[in-house]
Amino acid sequence: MKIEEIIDKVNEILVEEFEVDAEVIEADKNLKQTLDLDSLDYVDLVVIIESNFGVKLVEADFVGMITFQDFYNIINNKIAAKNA
Amino acid sequence: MKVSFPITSAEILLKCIPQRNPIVMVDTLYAFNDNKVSAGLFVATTGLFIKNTTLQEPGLIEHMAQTVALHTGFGFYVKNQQAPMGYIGSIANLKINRLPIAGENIHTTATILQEFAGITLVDIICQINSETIATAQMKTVIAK
Repeated sequence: MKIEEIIDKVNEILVEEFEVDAEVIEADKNLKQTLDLDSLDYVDLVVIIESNFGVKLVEADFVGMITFQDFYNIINNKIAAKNA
Repeated sequence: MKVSFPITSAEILLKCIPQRNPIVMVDTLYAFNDNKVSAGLFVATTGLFIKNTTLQEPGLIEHMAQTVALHTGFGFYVKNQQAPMGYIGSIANLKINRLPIAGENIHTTATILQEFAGITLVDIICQINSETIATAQMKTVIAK
């Protein structure tokens, strides 16, 4: 799966799950602030990423993750590691 | 620690959950593993959550939450550690088909869907004699 495909799919999921307009999602924007995430929402994020990509995010993955691009990169790296 | 199910000892159950009477809404631990817990409650004729011999919605929800709490608490109990305090973070997709009446036994199973950063996401199903009376998805949070 190419990074572009991952980004498209992640954005599609985020729009549906967190009920935001697609236009507000930009790679360099702050993920938490843009989606207005609270601590409980992160569990949903973990669940939807696991169910859609088959990779499990752990607490350490969110340390230092700020932007949407960070988020895409982590998912991409996890998928790459899984397929290695 | 060697344990056998079902566990009905109030002494053991109260070591697993922080609630105390008259708020205690579980009286049996039927089964426990890493991903699932099953607990029960005999519905009495009187009690804080009983109205006209029927267990009210808050009581049923509290029973669900305490079933989830038993999962965490029993895990600590078997390690001879004190159970942590927890809270209901959110409830979603709550569906109550009917309320339990006095004399009935509720059998509730909570399946752990995800655990992340002290937050547990669970699917809960409450049954009486195999009849599903309520379902919900709940997030519980361990106090830090």
